Amino acid sequence: MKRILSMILAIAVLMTFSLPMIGCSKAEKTVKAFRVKSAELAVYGEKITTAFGKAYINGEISREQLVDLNKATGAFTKSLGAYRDAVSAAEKIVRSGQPLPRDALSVLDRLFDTEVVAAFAAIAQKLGVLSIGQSETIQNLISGARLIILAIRALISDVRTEFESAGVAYA
Amino acid sequence: MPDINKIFSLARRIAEAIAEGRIEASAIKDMTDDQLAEFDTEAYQALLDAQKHNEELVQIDGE
Repeated sequence: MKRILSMILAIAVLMTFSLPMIGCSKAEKTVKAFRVKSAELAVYGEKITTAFGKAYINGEISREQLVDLNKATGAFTKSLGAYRDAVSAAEKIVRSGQPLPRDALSVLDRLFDTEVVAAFAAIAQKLGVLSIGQSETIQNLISGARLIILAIRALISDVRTEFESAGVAYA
Repeated sequence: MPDINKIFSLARRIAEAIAEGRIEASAIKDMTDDQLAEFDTEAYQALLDAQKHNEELVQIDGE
């Protein structure tokens, strides 16, 4: 009986110390997923921005139109930078062995929706009234970026669900 | 110490392929943490460079 109780206690102790480690691995994977999507969005952002520059050089858009598009892509670039900084901050936390805190997710969520998504929407809106918006290349790039944005939203939603079902800081 | 030039070269090739739809993002997912960090930094720097280039274009023609 005493031996069985000792074994149960040993397993309980083992699980107490191992669960945070398992949790930290899951949190690291989650933050890595955010980083992957951040990189993909930067790739598409660069291609879209470059396409605008080429369109101007080719005479497909005017200087004023490029100035207007530059404002939109500039806002997108800046917002993506802020989002990347938030992902880096989350990475530091989980790599130090701590669980991903709920407010780190809130920061990512807020930055993403109010800044990144809003800035991207502004680019798409401006393209809507330009002929280059009809080009297959630009439409493919915009579609690709939209898919990544949807994926990030789904990721945030998944993590939020984890927090809500766990009731504690995500580990 | 990983060869930084090789990582950057890999990052550029993957970025091109993804934007052209030739490969899926699984190539990025398979990267190690260090490779991913380098790739992300490289991708964002490329975005900054493209933005700067476009801003210079309108400055040149506005003079």
